[in-house]
Amino acid sequence: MKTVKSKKISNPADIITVSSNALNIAKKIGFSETASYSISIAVSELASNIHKYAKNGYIHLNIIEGKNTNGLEVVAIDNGPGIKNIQDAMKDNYSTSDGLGIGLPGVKRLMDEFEIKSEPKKGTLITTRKWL
Amino acid sequence: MDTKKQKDFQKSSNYARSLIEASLDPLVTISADGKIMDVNEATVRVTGVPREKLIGTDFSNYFTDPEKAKDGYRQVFKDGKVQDYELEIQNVNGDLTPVSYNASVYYDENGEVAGIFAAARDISDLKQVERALSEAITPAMKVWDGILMLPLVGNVDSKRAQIVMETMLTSVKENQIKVAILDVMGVPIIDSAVAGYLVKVIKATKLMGCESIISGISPAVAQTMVNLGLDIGDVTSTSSMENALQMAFSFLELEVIHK
Ligand SMILES: Nc1ncnc2c1ncn2[C@@H]1O[C@H](COP(=O)(O)OP(=O)(O)OP(=O)(O)O)[C@@H](O)[C@H]1O
Ligand SMILES: [Mg+2]
Repeated sequence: MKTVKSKKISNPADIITVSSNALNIAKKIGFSETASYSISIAVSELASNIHKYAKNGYIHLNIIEGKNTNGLEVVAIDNGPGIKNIQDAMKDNYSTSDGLGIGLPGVKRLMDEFEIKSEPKKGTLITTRKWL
Repeated sequence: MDTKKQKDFQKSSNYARSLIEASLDPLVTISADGKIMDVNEATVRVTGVPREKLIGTDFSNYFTDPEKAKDGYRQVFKDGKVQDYELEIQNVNGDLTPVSYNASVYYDENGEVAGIFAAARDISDLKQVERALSEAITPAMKVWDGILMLPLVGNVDSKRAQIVMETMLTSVKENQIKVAILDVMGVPIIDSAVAGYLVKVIKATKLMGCESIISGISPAVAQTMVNLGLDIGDVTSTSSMENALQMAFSFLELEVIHK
């Protein structure tokens, strides 16, 4: 695993920066146009959540090696309020703000692997991967 | 060379090297087959690749548009130089740096072309201003009786969405617009937040009796939106502006005919 980008998320401009970084990296390592765009939207959703709910946190972009192929791993970490009910949060159209509530379930659909750990008052850690 | 001359030569070449390293501009020498022969520290910084890994690799590797980079050095070998040649350097971390190259061939002691010396100037600030300008203006054009066109360029945040909303509603009212075409070709990222704003704008416009068409949704964007779960419902969307205009005409029961 090689971390190619670690970005602190504390304002809206950071969300745009890190999603375009993800798009550029994905294209460079051989993802298709659609797959690259999917990854960048996933990053945008995770970074927006950090900004919206935890105020700040980090996004790490890692190039990973699998058995047969390489991939891109996106790790989103914050020390924010955490998610009380993960099952609800993963449902379409569930939102505690005025959002559409499709961010988290959407990221899961866009990527190949998705793991979420969250503890109220401690924070949230989301790891998601897409393989070439 | 005697020892004195050798020492002087060593001194002056050390001096030249330190000048090259001191330059904040990425400098590089390229061989006839497009391989990197030497780089300075600024090049290492902007690419995120260590010097020993840069040397011997294709110069064109480090740009978002490798073909344009190749065309650039081919042109230098052909014409002896290029000036103000714009490219975008891609760092391994995904950062892009827009640069403007000045490059020329240089010669060995026998007067033969030895390679290219290329100097890049970082033009991020310039590009930033250009982008800010194009984002600052959100032009709404009446393209036909009853048809409005609003091309969106750049990032859409809540503030921008508010401006788009106002621009759209004002021109719909003032120009008796029946169909509004919102072109999003120039919007780099359409995530759930941006889509949410678009839907809001479209709903408000509909309340004023105006239909909206979103154009400029590429196949990659369309597929991603579906996978993300974005349901823009009964909003009409299409890839090209041409299509959008066709749809607008047919909505207004207008027909374009050959004379
Ligand atoms: N990093 C986080 N910290 C705390 N709560 C979070 C975090 N990310 C998501 N949540 C919670 O999970 C819910 C669902 O998130 P999701 O991204 O799916 O929807 P949303 O952000 O509400 O709306 P949308 O993403 O569609 O604009 C959020 O409303 C919020 O309560
Ligand atoms: Mg969200």
